[in-house]
Amino acid sequence: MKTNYLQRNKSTRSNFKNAIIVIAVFILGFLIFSIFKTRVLFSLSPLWNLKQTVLNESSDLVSFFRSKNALIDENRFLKQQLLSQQSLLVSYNALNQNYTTLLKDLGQLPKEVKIAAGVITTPPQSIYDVLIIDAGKDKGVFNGSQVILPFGALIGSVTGISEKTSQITLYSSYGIKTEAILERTQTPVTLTGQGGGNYMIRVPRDIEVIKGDRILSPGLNPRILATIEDISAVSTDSFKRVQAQIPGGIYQIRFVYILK
Amino acid sequence: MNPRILYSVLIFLGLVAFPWWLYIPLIIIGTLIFPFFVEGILFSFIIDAAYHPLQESVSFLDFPLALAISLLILFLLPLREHIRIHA
Repeated sequence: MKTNYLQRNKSTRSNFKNAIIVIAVFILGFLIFSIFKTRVLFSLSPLWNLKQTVLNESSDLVSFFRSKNALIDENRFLKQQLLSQQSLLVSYNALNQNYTTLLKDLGQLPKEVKIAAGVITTPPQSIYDVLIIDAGKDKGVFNGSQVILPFGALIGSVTGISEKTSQITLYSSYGIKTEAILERTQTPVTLTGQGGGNYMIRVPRDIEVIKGDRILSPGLNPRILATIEDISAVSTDSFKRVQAQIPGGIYQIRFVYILK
Repeated sequence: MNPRILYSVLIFLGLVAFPWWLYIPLIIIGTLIFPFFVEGILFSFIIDAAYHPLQESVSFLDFPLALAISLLILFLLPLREHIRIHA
């Protein structure tokens, strides 16, 4: 006789078997990938390099076919950006010079050894706000090293390392807390990572905070961590919510330095 | 070519070259379209291994995406029987 209904027992048994297989795959995967996590970085690095090469080549091809007007507009925009960056750099260099003189007077001049590295992947390709760079054990990178942008902003630390690549977790990764200082008032604050290069801070209402203020890392040799982008306050709250961002954003990072 | 294999290749290319908001939905859609899509767990493990920050202690939470996709597949196993589509 032909049956046109589900055989309940059979399907339950098959579901149970499949559930066991899924759990087994997860546990097996967990064991294998926990042991060989750094090998994954190593294995994927040629593909990431290939992607980077293809992207560079294609961007050259695209710019070749772009209209003259678009290129003029872009040129104008880039010139403006360059001017604003140069003015920032001038003020930064002046401050840095003062600071170096001060440290020299105190006899605590920092000696920094930096390793330059190219960025292979940035968010949003990586889901957890991490960067993958093309320097690893071969260039002397080690776990926990601090990572800075070419103009000196501190952005994260090395959390994973393979022979030729390293994984950098940004301080702006969701939930990561970083101690910092508001430059204007020298108030210690805690930056909470929000993802996408953004931070959130809660500061008491009576502390003066202005858009564009810099947030520095604590210590004798402070580095810029973020700049303030937005301030919001609710009348019932005794704290202000301050939104800050890694200077320049994280989507355009091409090169970084790793501090040894 | 088997559409399942083709889809898996697409996910793999996605995790190497495309943003997360493209390859994560691809994995989720794969678990909905294909029955018993364990390949999705494998790809989630690769994504977690490549992009999730390494922790000092090893735990299941080092692989949050793989855990979520496994749970999704487990959740869909009995549900699939009830939403069977007859052509």
